[in-house]
Amino acid sequence: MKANPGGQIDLREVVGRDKVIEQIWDTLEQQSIRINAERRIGKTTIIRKLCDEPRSGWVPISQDLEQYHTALEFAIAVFRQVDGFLSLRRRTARRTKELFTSLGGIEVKGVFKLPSFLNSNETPWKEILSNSILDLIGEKDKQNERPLFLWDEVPYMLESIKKNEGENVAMELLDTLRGLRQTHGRNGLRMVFTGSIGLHHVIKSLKRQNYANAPINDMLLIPVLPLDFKPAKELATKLIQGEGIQTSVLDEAATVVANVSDGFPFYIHHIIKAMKQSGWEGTPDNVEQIVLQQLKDANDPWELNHYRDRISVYYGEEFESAVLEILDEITVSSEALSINYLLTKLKNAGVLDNRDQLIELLKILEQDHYLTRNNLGHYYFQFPLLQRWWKLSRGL
Amino acid sequence: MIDKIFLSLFTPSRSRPEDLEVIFVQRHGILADAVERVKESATTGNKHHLLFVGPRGTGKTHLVTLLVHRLDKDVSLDNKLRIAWLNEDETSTTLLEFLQRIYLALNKRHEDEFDKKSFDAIFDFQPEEAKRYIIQLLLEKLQEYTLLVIVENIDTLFEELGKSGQQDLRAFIQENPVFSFVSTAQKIIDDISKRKNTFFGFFQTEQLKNLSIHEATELLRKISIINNQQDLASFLQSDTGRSRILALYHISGGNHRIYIALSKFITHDSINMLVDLFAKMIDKMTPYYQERIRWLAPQQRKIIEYLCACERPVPVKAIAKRLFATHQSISSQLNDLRKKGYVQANQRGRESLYEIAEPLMRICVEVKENQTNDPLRILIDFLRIWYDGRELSMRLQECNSMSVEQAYLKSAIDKNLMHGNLRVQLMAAEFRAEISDNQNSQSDVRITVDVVVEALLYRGIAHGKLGESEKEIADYSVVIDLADASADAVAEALISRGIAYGKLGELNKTITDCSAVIDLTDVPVEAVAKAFINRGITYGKLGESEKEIADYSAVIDLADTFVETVAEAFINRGIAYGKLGELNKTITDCSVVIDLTDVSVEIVARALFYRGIAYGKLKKLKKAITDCSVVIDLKGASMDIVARALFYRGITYRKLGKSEREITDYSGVINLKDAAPVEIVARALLYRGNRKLGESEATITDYSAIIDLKDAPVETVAEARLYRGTTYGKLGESEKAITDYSAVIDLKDAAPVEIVARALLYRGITCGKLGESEKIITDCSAVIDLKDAPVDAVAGACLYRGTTYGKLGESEKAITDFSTVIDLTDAPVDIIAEVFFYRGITYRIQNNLEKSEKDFKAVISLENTLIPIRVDAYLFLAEIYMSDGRWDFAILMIDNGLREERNSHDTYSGDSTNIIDVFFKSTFIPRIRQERIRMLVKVYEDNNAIAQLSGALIKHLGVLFTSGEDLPASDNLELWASAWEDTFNNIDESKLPLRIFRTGIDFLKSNGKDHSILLDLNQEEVKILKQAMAL
Repeated sequence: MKANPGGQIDLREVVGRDKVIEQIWDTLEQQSIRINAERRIGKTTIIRKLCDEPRSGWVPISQDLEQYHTALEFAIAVFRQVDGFLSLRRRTARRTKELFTSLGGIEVKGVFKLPSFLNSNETPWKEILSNSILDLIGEKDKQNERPLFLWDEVPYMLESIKKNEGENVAMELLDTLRGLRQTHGRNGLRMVFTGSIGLHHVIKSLKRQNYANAPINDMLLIPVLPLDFKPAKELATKLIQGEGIQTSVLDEAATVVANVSDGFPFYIHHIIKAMKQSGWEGTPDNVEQIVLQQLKDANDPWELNHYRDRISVYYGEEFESAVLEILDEITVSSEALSINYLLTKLKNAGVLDNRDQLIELLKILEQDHYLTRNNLGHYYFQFPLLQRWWKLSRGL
Repeated sequence: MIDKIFLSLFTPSRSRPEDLEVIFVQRHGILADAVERVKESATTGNKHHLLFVGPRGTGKTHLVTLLVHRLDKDVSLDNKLRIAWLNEDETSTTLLEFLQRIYLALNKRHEDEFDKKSFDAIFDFQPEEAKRYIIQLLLEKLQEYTLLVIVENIDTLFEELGKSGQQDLRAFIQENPVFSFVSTAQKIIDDISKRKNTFFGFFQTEQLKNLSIHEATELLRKISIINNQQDLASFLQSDTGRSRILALYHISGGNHRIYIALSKFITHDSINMLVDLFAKMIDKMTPYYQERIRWLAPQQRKIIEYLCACERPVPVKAIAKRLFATHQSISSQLNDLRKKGYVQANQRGRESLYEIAEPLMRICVEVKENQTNDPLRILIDFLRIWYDGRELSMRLQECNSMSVEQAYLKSAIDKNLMHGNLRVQLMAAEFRAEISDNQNSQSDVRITVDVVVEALLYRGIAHGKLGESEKEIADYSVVIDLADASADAVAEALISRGIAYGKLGELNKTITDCSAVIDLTDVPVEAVAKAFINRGITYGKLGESEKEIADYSAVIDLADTFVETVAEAFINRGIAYGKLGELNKTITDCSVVIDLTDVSVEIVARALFYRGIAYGKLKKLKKAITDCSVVIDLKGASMDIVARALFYRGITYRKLGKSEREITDYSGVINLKDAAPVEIVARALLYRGNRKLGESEATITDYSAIIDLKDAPVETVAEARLYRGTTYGKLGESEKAITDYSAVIDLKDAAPVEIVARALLYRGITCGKLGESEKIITDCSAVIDLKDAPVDAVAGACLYRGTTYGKLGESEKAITDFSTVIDLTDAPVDIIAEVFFYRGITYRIQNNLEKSEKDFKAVISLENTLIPIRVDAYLFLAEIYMSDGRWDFAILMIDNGLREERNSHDTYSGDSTNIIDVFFKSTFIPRIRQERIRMLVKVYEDNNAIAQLSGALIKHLGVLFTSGEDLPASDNLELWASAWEDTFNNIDESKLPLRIFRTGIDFLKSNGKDHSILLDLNQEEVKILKQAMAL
């Protein structure tokens, strides 16, 4: 297997995700799930594995939602998936088709032609969505199968809807989906939302528009973390071998790759690809050298600047200085820092003096994968790689 | 130069992929890697997406064309992969349009699988339905295939698609993981590089670099080879070729496309031609550059126009000031222009200085602004690099006044005067960049002229060690031409360059460079001394001994020279005297050095060694041995000189006949192994091998050791193979012998001609022994035709070819070959004797008894010829005399022959069968027969050769039996037997043969049919008779 940063991975080659997948299936017995993880950590691969290798009794329907830019597009896409799915079982999305017929849709020789909604201001997306799901639930009940919607890149779709149709539609959509879960949850309906923009940021921005609901708090948040050391090393080993990189210390080299990449598969692939391109031998020193080059590269090939640039967007300009100060302090400290210590530092720097605000900021920093806590509740960088880059880029 | 094959400048995909393969440079690794990744995409669930980024003209399409070509050629992918290479000029603003392009591209390559009819049905649908239809159609048609989509300028596609289009595309790819993308872009765009954007991290990005100067050279070399222009390929390696490549490189900025366009100029010397071609090229390229500039946003365009007008790199603040813009906005635009490959930045302290990445881009602005026909700056600069300072002045003198060319040359000279020699500056800059690249990036070393000079001198030395003399010379030349290099450095560079020229055999240039150092003022005396010594050595090589000696004497007379340098001069002068035969002066000069107290052991050792040789030549062998022995025992002397001393002492011992010591010394050299010079070890092995004659195994071991010795001189290896071949030959291992001879022959001109000639001759002889007459004729003919082959080899070849012709019955050819040898001057006497002998036999066969007799007499008259030849010559003469009745002379010749035989230490016995035969036929009269038998028996008895006679008698029975003629009558045979019995019965020694003879006669009398007669003899005797009679 060759290094393939950014490309699609052969599911047979995926390593280190069995545990989280088991956890997802176990959770789905009880409730729906949202998965929040950084871009390129491997969410989509997990979705593909859930879809292609479902646990017995589950029938997944997978969709990448970033291609839908209005609520209607989404609803119709769901209908099409449901209809396509049912037609394979010689069934039909009866309720929804009746709805379409009532709106002017026609069926000619078995092909259903949708009515045109082009001229209507208020499209019946909610009805289409609800009926489609009802059609599915009804049939699934008969088949003793449980439907599972695997929806990737939900936040992107919400952003698009917000932009094209306004916050209200985005809020309504979230509420509608929650309603469907509540109504049909007992019938086994489950949803998995994933997204690289944290859903909490989208909802936070909607809240600014007086959105008071908590549309996703019924969904358990499951983080997708980087790979544990063992699978990370296994992946590194596979890639070093797959690329035919010369090495007399394969084990040591793979160990270093697994460590310096913090187990991010994307970076593991990148490091090995860069190693291949360099023509260097696979040694621990050379791995270190390559990582250093990538971190120092003015072109920022891993786009780590994103972690700096997004701060003003995610936390608002009001808190930008405080967040920078927090991260700078933790970067240079050799140990995890307590809330009190950080508050003192922020006060001295004149950027923040409110303890609650600090706690809130730290919580979001944790959700955004900058920081994590030890048993004492002290904060430190979740990923040493990011800390290393932060230190280099901030000149600390 | 690119007219011979079609290389499209702007659309490489229209060129033949095979041609593109041949001229491919710099990116072999990238291409091979891309092929592997697409193959993995086609054969597994891993789908790779590749992006190649580089400014226009950097060879992106060339790379993609070769990728497709290689994938097409790979039959293992026939059932795995389909390729949609999209037409880059089409637009797609939606996923639907993009998918249409994909389908049509597939239809173009695989019309049967992706038919047009199915595609046309798309237009019956609304856009959303159409999209669903085409997705379904594509996936159906693709079945198990992976689809490779090639998108050139993906930046344009992303721009056209916009964010929502990109999201549609990405979702489509994610939902249908059967695609692999190979794309190109002119720069990294935010759509790919920013984490918040849809395609962040999607592609494996490869930044394509511009050509380095070395790669540019390689490109030109390959184009010259594909065009079959070998002379051009060599020209590119020359000094002039190199500087011209630099000129083209400077103008093109390393851009592949521009470089190929400019390469037409490379061989043009004539200024008229250059100016003319340049004008045409500008005409052709201006629209290209104008289009490139037009393509930019207005602010960026203004920056480029301003930079085009600037003579030197400029800081951001100067551009901002000039364009009335903020520092920040110009900085961000410059950053973007840099990514697009339009500008390049150089760091000066904390400041970034910007300039146009491709100087040729200036032509747009210049041509537009230039309404007055003033010389174009770009062409002036071009000429400043194309010609060195001397050439510019020379060509100016040759130009017509008031001509355009004169104006250009004058401008170039003036600009060089004002700004320095651009050619030299660039060469130094190129090198500076190289050493800068090689330095640790953490390092803060300022690259001063001294650093550059030092590094150039070191690199020159390194090139020299690698045998890259041209490059070595070029490095020294840069130092010599550098205006601000120190006199010391220039002197060092001149001396080193002189030595490098010497290695190339350009001895006059060595003398010029050394003389330049001698004439320099302000250089250290040591440099002058070195120059004298090297010039002296060069004069020596040219055979100008007087000048050579004068230069060494000059060093000896120089004040303040290092003592070691003076010692070297003494030794060299001594050697020079030696070559003139003035060996006593050699001894004097070397003795001076030996008596010096403050020189190194090595110098003393050399002086001793050369004095030893001089003594040897003066036949003062003991003194020679003493000097060599001192060297051998000298503590601290290098193994090099010790090995030479040992070897020479071995040779000297040989002259004194002390073989054991001789061999011990050779073994001493051999035991030094790698520490001794390989040529000396090889010679020692050869000499030891030669001295161990008779010990075949040991000899073969020594010769084999030479053959296996890495870097042994080819002539020694050739000799070793020849001698090993002859040793094998002696052991009867003909095949091994032939293999060795053939190996020598295959060396051709690399081996000395005398060795090759011998190998041919010996191979021929060995083949002859195996009965392969044709091969002996071929090999001997090759020797005879070999230019400068030694006379003994030619004589030997004529002899063996002649005898072979003789055996084949081609007597005339045989006689011609033998006569050739006889006419040769300086042919070895033993070979002359042999050819006389064999020519005598040939004449005898032709029944030309007169000439035959003459030749045999000639053999006898020659001194120091081999006994067997002489004996046989006498017996042949006896036969001739007997046949024409000169019986007394015949007996005399037999007597002489047998006497020589008896008196020699040789164990050779002649064959008298023919004599018996002639005698048998000469008379039937019993009385005369008896009388003559008595005479014969007497002469053989006198010479103790009765066994030879009786043997001949028995063999003669065989001659009678096997001649094919009717057997003699029984009474004739009976009379013949009785006559012999009468005489032989009295001689004890002949009793046994006589019994065999009698049985043979009885057998013949039975007409050779009654085998029971043979039972009269015991088994041993029967065996002898049967052998004689070929029963």
